[in-house]
Amino acid sequence: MPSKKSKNSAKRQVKSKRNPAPKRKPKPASQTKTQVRQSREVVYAVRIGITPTGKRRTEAEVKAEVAEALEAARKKLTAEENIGAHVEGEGGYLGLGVEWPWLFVTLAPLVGHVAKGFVEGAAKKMGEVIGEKLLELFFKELRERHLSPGPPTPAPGITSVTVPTEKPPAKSRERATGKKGRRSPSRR
Amino acid sequence: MPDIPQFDPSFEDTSLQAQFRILVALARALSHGLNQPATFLAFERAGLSGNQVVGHLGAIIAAHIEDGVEEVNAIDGIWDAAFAGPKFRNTIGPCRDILEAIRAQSLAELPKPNSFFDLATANAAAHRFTKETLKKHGLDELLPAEPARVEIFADLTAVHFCAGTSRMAHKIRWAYQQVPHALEGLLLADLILSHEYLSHLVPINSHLDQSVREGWLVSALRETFQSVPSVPRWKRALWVDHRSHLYRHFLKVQESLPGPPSAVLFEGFSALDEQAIRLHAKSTTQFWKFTGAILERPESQEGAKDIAWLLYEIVRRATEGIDHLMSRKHMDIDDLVDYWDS
Repeated sequence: MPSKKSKNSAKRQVKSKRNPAPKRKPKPASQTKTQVRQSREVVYAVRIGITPTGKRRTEAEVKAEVAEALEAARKKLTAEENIGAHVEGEGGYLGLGVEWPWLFVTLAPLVGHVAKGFVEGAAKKMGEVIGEKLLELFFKELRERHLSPGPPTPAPGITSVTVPTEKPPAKSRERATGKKGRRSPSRR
Repeated sequence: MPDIPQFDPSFEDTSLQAQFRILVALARALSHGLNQPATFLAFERAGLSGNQVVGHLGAIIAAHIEDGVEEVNAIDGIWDAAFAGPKFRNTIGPCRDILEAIRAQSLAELPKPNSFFDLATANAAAHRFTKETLKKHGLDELLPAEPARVEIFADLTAVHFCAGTSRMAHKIRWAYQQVPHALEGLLLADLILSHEYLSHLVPINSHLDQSVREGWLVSALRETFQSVPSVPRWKRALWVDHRSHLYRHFLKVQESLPGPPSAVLFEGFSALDEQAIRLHAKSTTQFWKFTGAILERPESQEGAKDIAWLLYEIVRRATEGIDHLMSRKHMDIDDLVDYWDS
């Protein structure tokens, strides 16, 4: 019985004879050297310490949980309150029980220049109020995930941030190629 | 002209600022002294190295700060303690003269009003150095055109990394920590900030793990500055000690944590560093082709997992892994994954 590897390589050879390997599609602009990012005005910015507790987790897992918590919190806002918000860990993850500083910002709505005056006034104020409400909801979601948030402290001087433009999530390689999940690298 | 660093509210305490100013004065004087060609010979004859001198002063100042330093004039007591210690006590001749000159210069630096400007200068130098490095390999478009703003915050429990970067706010936060290696950090500020640029601001994919940011890309930076004359020899030597002090500190923090151990790595897989050195030594071009492919990888968690897996394979395959990277004409992460995954 041929080994799995040789079977696969035979398959590949046959396939390549019949259908020459398709040329790789050029990458979209957003995935090349200059990824599309945009500068957005910040209406509310605070720094929070998040202390992971509970079970053992990697940095990537904690990051994913924080992102999930923010998404869950945003879903609890009403349609009128829907506001752009981002969080980002500053520095590295040191482990369970150690506070990890994160920046939390809410963004001003994207509007045309006609409405700019409005944004600078009333909408900004409203943005701050929604920002505080969202932060409260976010904290609740964090706690549910065994991520203990510390008291927010002002993040002075952060008036704008550069964030990636929203785009549909890319298809995972495994799903796209039909491959089985790759063995995770073992770590020392 | 680069912007003067901002202060986080945690760093507004005047005694913390005085401690920082002492460190800056010592760093300026030491940097000047270590840049003199005669210094090394004189130190060597006295059985000292530049790293030992920096380490000794760093330990003394950390001990003084622990006892409470509120004013900049505490620097005199720090020097007295340093000369009373076993490392400096018996120095004579040129070595003693050089140490005395460094002491005198540090005292002269203190009244100068622009202590915090050193970090801004280091930041501008780091941005320039990173740009020049990337430009050589056609990757400079990845670096933001303007240097990031630097902000100093106080980390009095020293549980954070010595610097942290915010991509979205385009800001690097410098941790003022009352630890013996804080003086080394200031002496190496330009290289540490270069690391922040190369490992944290340049890569497109924000999901890259420790193996990439603190492993492969730190090796890329180190292999680069080891080969350029603009980085003095004493800094290259001090970098090695500093990384090991950071690692020891990291372990200490890890050991002190309650509860189950965390799945946290300092710089990724062991032996990754050796593989990076091997590839760089064989071909700088291939090394940067591969590094460039990592840096240009688009934002995606799956993409980050692919790179982590590739680095693991590079370590696992040892010589064969390097040979394969050497043979590649085009370095494409997807192709490499497909090749090793088949």
